[in-house]
Amino acid sequence: MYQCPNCGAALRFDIPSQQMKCDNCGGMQDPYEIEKASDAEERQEYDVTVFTCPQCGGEVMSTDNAAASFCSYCGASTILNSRIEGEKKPSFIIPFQKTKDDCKAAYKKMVARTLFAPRELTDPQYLDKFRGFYMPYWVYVADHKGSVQTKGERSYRRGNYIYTDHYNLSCDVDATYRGMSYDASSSFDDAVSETIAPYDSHGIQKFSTAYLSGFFADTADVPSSVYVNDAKAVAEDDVKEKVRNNPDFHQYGPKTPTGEGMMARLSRTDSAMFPVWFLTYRKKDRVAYAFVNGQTGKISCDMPVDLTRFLIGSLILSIPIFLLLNAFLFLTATGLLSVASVLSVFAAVVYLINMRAIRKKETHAEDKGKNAVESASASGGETRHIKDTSLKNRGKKAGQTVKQNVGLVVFVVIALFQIGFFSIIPKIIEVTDSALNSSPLMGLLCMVVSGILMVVSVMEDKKIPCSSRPVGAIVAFIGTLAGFLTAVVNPVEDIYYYACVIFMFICMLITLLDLTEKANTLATRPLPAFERKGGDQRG
Amino acid sequence: MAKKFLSLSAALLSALILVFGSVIPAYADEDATERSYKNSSTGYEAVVYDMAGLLSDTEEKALLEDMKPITNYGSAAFISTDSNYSTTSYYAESMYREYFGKGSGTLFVIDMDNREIYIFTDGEIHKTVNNHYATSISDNVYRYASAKKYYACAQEVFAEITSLLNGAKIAQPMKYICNGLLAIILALLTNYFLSRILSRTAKPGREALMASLTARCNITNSTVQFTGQTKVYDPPSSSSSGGGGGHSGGGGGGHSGGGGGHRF
Repeated sequence: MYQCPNCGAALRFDIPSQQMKCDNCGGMQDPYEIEKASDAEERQEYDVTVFTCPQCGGEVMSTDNAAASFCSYCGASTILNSRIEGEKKPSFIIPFQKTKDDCKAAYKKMVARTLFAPRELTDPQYLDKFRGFYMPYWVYVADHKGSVQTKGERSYRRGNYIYTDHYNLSCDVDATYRGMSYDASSSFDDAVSETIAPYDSHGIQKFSTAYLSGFFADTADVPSSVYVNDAKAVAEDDVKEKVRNNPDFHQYGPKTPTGEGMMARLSRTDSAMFPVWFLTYRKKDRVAYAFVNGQTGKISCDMPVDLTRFLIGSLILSIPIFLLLNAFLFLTATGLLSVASVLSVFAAVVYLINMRAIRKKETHAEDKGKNAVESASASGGETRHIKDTSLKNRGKKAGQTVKQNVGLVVFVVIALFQIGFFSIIPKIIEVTDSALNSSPLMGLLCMVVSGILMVVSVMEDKKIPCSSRPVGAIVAFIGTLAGFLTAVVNPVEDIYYYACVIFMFICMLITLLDLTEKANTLATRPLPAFERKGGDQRG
Repeated sequence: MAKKFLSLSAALLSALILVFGSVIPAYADEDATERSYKNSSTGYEAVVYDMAGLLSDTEEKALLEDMKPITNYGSAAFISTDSNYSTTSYYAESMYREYFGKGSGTLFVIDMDNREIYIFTDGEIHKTVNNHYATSISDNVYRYASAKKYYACAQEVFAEITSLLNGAKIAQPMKYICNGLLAIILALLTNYFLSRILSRTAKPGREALMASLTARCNITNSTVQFTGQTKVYDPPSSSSSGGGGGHSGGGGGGHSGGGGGHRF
């Protein structure tokens, strides 16, 4: 805890002035010159580290990687020194540049442009819950030194021939890239950290624990080796681009360069702490987050959709669409059936895409940091990178999935075959150029496609932990089945087509509502992720 | 004796005529009377040719009267058939060409073979009674044909065509119902995509990422070494400036007219 030399009150880092400020007397101190008065004492009890607050003596337990926190009793900002001393001490820090008010403004702007966001997201009381966090990051320095070779050519016409001159192009490269940064906390989703990136490396300062005063902070639990290839790739891509755009080579259309100079070497890896503001919105057992880059102010939000507002908004939007359609579109009842079938398939495709995105998010399939930590703990400390997604393994997994669901797959294939065989052949014979007879084929195609999508959606759903059934995909298939059967029967009266389309419309509505619910799942995360007890809401 | 023989012969002949006359099939339809009317001021015709025998004589006359106002704009024809080996639309067009060529007019056919009604128009009438209106009118009247009220069906068709030609509107419930349902579905899909797109935060591009780094890249000793030459024979294409292969003047072979129909 940092104390004011004038009055002895607690000091916190003040963002606008970038100094340590005393809340009591307003005195300002340089973060690098102020000395820490006291730390939270700690002791181990079983698997829990117990910290004693230096201000009130209250005991706070911490089982995670927290480096700075707040006393649950008195709210005093406390640095947990044992977690950031010695080898674990970060080398650099980017201090907070954006204040809580900046975050609120950015968030309000985001909510305003998001359609159908729940009203409570604009409640000022809710917005006041922004919390400042210092997240651990790995910062890499990559060098390139050596020769680079590539090929080029230049073509021109002379008479009846096209001549092509071939060239070998070479050069020497001497490059350094500093500041490639990746989050080092397994609880900070890579997808989110990529969205609020980049942090400007020109703002990096030497680390001082004083900067942490008044904020939460985490320590790194992801090994630095996880992102080495990503950092190298950034440097190599830039060198490749620079070689290709070299004025001496440009006219020769250089191909992909190779050589020693193209290989990036990591000369240095530093740990750092970068600022993030976050805000939580809780609904039932899921939490939505907003993350704001504490340096640049870039915001990334989980935005759920309010279903009631969504439906009302759709009804209102349907009016101008209806007027527009009347101006240029003329559909017969059978034509409408075909269009409805196609739209049902489209909704089923979007549904499946959403299911896949949810599966990736819920299983952290693309979160390298999380996967590295989990596979390390599973294998007893040995770090492994993200799971192999090579074609061989994907094929093997697909085979296992099919085996597990063989009953369902066989049933669907037989059903589709019977319907197709006994319907399509007579229909193929009697198909003419008339648009009145075109809907059975269209209906069959849509039904087959949505059937396949339904099966795949069911398979995806099984991979998602604690998921609900893919109702939307099943209902979309039922809708296209009804459309196909109506087209096959081909009744004279239009009323049957309208009734079928209304049924398909209801099915599509269920699909879209389920899709919106699934999208809300996509926009939220399971508890807990950043649940921090107590806490200073001043920041 | 001769008198008796003659009387007997006459009686026998009469009996034979009565018997066979009653079983002779109604091929009289093939010889159904074609009623027509010609508008003396415009030269357009109205024709009623009930080959399928759906209308009575009175109804045919009445229908001809109903068709007369159309002859101010073009020719009009009503045809019924029960032996059509092609599609109803093809039949309607071919009959129209046979009667009226490419002139302005309308033809309404009730095809008992395919169980379909069809309206074909061409010329000036087609500019008003286009394919959409033809389909709408068919959709409005097909129930009459389903209920075997063929005169009412034809009468309503020509009444609606006359209304359109006189500048009035006709009911198009099918169009509005279809567009209404489609509008709701499209609105739901549109709002879903809008809500997803607008709430998304874009990942930074390459330029933004590179601008945040401290980078230094020196490229020196650039050398270009010629290694060889290849050549490919590729004579320039001999494109004529005369527009060879173009369409003949007058754009021959165009398809005019159109229509719409409905099963019953």
